[in-house]
Amino acid sequence: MNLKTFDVHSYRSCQSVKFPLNRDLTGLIGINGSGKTNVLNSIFLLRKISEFRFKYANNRDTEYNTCKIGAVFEHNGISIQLKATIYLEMDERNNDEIISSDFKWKFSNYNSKEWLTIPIEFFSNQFNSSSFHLPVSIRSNIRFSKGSRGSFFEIYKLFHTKEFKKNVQPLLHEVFEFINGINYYSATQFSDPGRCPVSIELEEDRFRRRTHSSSGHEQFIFDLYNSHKQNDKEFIRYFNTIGKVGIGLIDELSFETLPIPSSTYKVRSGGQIKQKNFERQLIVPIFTINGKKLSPNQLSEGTFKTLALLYYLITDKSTLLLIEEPEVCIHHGLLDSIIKLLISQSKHKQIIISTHSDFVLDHLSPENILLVKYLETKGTTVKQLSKSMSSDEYRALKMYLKESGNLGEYAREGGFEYE
Amino acid sequence: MSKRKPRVGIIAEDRSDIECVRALIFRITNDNKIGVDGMAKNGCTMLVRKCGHWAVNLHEKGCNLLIVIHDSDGKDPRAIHNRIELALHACPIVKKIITIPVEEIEAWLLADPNAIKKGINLDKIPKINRNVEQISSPKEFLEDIIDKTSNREKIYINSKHNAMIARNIDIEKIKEKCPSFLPFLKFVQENTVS
Ligand SMILES: Nc1ncnc2c1ncn2[C@@H]1O[C@H](COP(=O)(O)OP(=O)(O)O)[C@@H](O)[C@H]1O
Ligand SMILES: [Mg+2]
Repeated sequence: MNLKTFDVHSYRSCQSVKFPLNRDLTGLIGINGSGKTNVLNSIFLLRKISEFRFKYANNRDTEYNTCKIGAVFEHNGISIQLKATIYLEMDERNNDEIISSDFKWKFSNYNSKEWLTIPIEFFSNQFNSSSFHLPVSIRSNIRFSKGSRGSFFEIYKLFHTKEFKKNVQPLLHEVFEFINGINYYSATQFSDPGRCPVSIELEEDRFRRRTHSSSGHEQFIFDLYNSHKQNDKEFIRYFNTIGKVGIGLIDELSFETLPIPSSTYKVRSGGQIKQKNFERQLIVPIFTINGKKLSPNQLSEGTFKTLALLYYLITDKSTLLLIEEPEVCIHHGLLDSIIKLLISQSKHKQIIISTHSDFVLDHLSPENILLVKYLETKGTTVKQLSKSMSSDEYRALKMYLKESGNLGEYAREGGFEYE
Repeated sequence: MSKRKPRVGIIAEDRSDIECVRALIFRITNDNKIGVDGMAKNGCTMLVRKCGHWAVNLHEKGCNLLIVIHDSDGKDPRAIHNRIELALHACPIVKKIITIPVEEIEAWLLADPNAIKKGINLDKIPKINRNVEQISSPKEFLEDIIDKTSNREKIYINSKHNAMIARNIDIEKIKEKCPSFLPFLKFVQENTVS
């Protein structure tokens, strides 16, 4: 499955944005503030709305920001269209918090003219038409937007029809898996390795988060520790890539674990005291580079970021990966390998990056470039490079690439209007 | 007449190709003290455009041999050869060769499966039952066999792995399987023996 087109309305700087996507590694380019990050975040909304909601807003139309997104997915030649209205708030760190959302779907292999209102809860793994696992409180609270088709029980009936079961249910499952596998990676999550703790603590195998400011770093160390412990194929592939037989960022990776005995007391009514023991572990990550043992906070910024980027690129099971400026803090030799890895991994998952680097641009083909601009009147706009120029201009670009140089150079030399 | 110590300038499409050619020269000569300088820039159009200047620069640095290596990527090798030759019309380095592997330089590396195993530290020797100069995309082919032979535990990164493979390569194997390698081999052998 892959995402074929995407549109978003009334979201941050995106008043009304629509663009197609190719299956190849795709790059968003545009000046600072044009809206690249907002566009990536808006695609990430697909993932956020796929998470179960347990909270249902009343008065949601007035109290919250309302934005709309649309997406077309393709799966084995079948197209699946989604239209969603999303009610959201922004927290103090400018992150989106989804309050609620409505969904409509259209399937090219089923009543292809009709929009079906199917809430996201119906998409999950556990769901099958013979049993509803939804708590009654949610069931009775699912509201359908005006003019939509029928009630909860009509959907229930729909799910029991043979044609729906055969044609649509498997697709719903695929879509759910796909949007749940969308991930967002930004190098800024891992900037300043000095903020990375030298150790992490686990309590009964769970991660005890200590600080908020280093959450990206700490999460990465925790994820890395878990993969290292499991030593599965994904981890081995990651380690081979960063280690000596790969790009050679580190020689060795190990974790020291130390049990910390802990206990608390529970006092019952009547004064009975009971001791409760539990297991805590101190996990100390050690990276060996050129024979030296280093803590993560001693790594260079570029090394730390690359270790994290490649970890998520190679091990995670994303279906669609959104990556902000993979070039940040990385020298050309290493960046070359990273781009090649992005290209090779984009065979397994759809990857969209934003970039300011003409070195990165050199490795992308013009068909896979989306130009992001901010217009006073329209807000952020996104256009395929080929559509942002006249056919003569595009022909001139093709000629340049064939005879004279690379895309990055063409951009730097002012070959296409960036602003 | 005393012969000047050989110092090789390499012009290629990619830094990794330079590392790879450097390693091949060391394998051919059994001498890893030969001076090697290289210049490269992403992609072939850049090479044709820049190689004239680069050749002058390499000459200034003291190179007395020049190797220009360029993939044929499905195009007519004669035409590429002529374009580069034209671009090098004022080349100050007299002893030079323009070498064009069939499709991509990876075809040469595919000639020795054992070197792939050793270079990338695979558990098994990859099976290659093909005429390597007839593989239409040797880079992708190499990517696939590394993926398969390693049971998906290794990802091919040409910028690192090509040189690692070349450092272990058996020159006889390439000689046997890749006619496009022969002029390069001859050039290196004839010009580096002291
Ligand atoms: N929550 C928000 N609501 C409205 N506008 C926003 C919000 N967050 C950022 N913006 C605006 O969107 C514009 C584009 O930002 P951004 O996507 O970060 O640009 P880029 O990533 O291309 O540099 C900025 O001018 C910024 O002021
Ligand atoms: Mg940004």
